[in-house]
Amino acid sequence: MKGAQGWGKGGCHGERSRDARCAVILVVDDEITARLVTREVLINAGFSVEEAEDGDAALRAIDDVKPDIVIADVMMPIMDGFTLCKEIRRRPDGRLLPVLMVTGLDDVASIHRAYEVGANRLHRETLQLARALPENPPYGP
Amino acid sequence: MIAGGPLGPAYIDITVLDGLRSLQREGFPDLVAKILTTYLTETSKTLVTLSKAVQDRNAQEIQFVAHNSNRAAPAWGHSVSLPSSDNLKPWEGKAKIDTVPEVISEIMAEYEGVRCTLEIELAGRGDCVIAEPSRPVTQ
Repeated sequence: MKGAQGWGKGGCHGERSRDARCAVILVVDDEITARLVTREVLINAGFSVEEAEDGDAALRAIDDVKPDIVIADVMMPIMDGFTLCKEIRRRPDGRLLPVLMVTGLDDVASIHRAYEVGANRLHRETLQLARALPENPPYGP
Repeated sequence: MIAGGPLGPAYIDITVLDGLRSLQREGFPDLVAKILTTYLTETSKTLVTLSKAVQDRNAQEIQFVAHNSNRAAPAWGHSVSLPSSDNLKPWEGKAKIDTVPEVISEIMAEYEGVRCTLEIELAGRGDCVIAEPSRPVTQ
């Protein structure tokens, strides 16, 4: 259920479920406090949440859990969010996967780069993104 | 409940903490305590990393650490209002790196205040010793 009425309303409450009502969100962030808060906000909104600490781990998680949405920080070790997004778009199953990026980088070049690599949206703050998501669902590019 | 502390409510947005409290699920561990404990533990490590990066004059590492610390604090309602936001961001020029120790000292002093406030919150009692932060030196 991925329509505007359906996102996050399945009541999965964090437990990984194959229930079709549960949208699975992969949160990719090396900053543990931000990741923890994002997870709790999303779980409370009814989403099922998986986590990864960097882009490399995120690509493995995408293979494993097949998320419906990816939320990724930009500045991460090993593989940053820009590279992650580019890699996702190169995959046949990643072309339409909504990727929402979070960055404190507010220069024009970073904003352009996020959209160039295929991000659907760019947010300045994770908490604000997580709170807005149930009412404002993303769609593929 | 946080009602002030060394930094006062001007630095800590209680509505964010209250919002997080509202996410508490029945039968699960105290969410706010978990977030604040995680923040304190991770920030202590971050400051060590930051000090070392300053000593090594590693601008890239400083920028990376600054990015993360500027994302961690707002997640639970701490508005980072010291120079950390502005002065740590564009830290690529050598001219600016000379001012880093002063900025780091301010950040550490701020963190000590936050730490005390949060430890009082977590312990439910009102005493905390604020340590005098050491000033990192560049070589």
